[in-house]
Amino acid sequence: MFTGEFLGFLNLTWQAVAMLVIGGVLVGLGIAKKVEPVLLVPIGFGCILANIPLGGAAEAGGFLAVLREAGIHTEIFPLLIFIGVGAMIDFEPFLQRPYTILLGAAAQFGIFGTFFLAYLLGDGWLHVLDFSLQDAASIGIIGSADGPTSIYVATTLQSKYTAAIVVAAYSYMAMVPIIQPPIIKAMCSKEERALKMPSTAGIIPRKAKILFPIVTVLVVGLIAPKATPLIGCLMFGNLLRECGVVERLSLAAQNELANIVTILLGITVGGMMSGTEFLRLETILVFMLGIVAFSLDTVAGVFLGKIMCVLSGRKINPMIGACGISAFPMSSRVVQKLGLEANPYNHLLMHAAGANVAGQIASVVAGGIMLMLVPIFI
Amino acid sequence: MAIIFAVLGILLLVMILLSKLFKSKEKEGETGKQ
Repeated sequence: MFTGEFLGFLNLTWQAVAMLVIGGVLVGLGIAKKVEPVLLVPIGFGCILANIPLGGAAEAGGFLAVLREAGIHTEIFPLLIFIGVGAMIDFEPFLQRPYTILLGAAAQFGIFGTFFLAYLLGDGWLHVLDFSLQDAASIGIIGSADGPTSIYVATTLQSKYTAAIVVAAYSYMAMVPIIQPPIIKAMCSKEERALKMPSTAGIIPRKAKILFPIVTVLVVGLIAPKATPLIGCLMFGNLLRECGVVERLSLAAQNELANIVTILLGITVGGMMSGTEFLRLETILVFMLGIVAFSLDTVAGVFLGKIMCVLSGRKINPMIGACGISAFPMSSRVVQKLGLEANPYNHLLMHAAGANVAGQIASVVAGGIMLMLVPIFI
Repeated sequence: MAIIFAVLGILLLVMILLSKLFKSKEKEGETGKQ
């Protein structure tokens, strides 16, 4: 009877201890360093709960396992969060500059570049790592810089590394101010960074803002049907916001829905971080490949930005290409800051925001395309 | 990558067409009032 109280201690393995420490680090990063606290605190805590021996939270029948079955395996959680995200996004900066959709497209290059790299390291060629086609595609999707898309694709493809992929995606989104500036500065001269963009004063009519989500779902869904749940939920949320007749639904989507699902999603993802699954060489490589994905995104976005700068007669600052990744608003703020550093009169925020929200759409399309293509090659 | 550009390129085209449609309807509305 007495030893029963210490059974947890007696069953501690080194993997469990390591994961308890990692869980603590994630919680610490979220609280002390304010690195995406909204996600890292629940994820870290879920990790701690899942790795307490004999706690049973993440085992069959445990509450974390129930949440995993109900919300992750069914793909419901990321889709519900996307309704909230859609309700929070104002697409006006993008609608005023629709050409930024091309920058969004270019900035998804990191997804495919990283996918090929991961697959070549794994089952595709070198067999150095245990990366199947589905795993490689899921690792590549870290480059979407979008948490719900990463979770949705990794879960649908049943990747072994879903937990690591999700933690990497959210962590690197917060690290955009560290990852992007050196690449942007290396690719753009001071003259280019100082380039002022003419302000676009066009007012977008309310009807256009209402039609936009509907048209987008139809266009994207009819061409890339696997993207329908993601783009559908994102645009449904946006329609709630823009139609103006369901204010309380819009507010609920932005607040209660988004926050409740974030809590449940975070703790559930943390619950997936079990020692035996997480403490592998492949996990470290997933994190490294995540940085590669973000870097390739930035390079490709800026590269197209430079081409558009030349073609437009130097009316487009190439830096806004870096905002084609979906990390909103971190990436816009990075470009705004770099623009002001080069030229104190250079306010790029709204132009950058246009590219940033365009990147949100592009990342969802990229996720859908990945889901469309992977089953063909299995 | 080509598929992404294709899908988003089509979306861009549709948006441009719709914006032209909105502008022409606004002009019709203005000439109607005159």
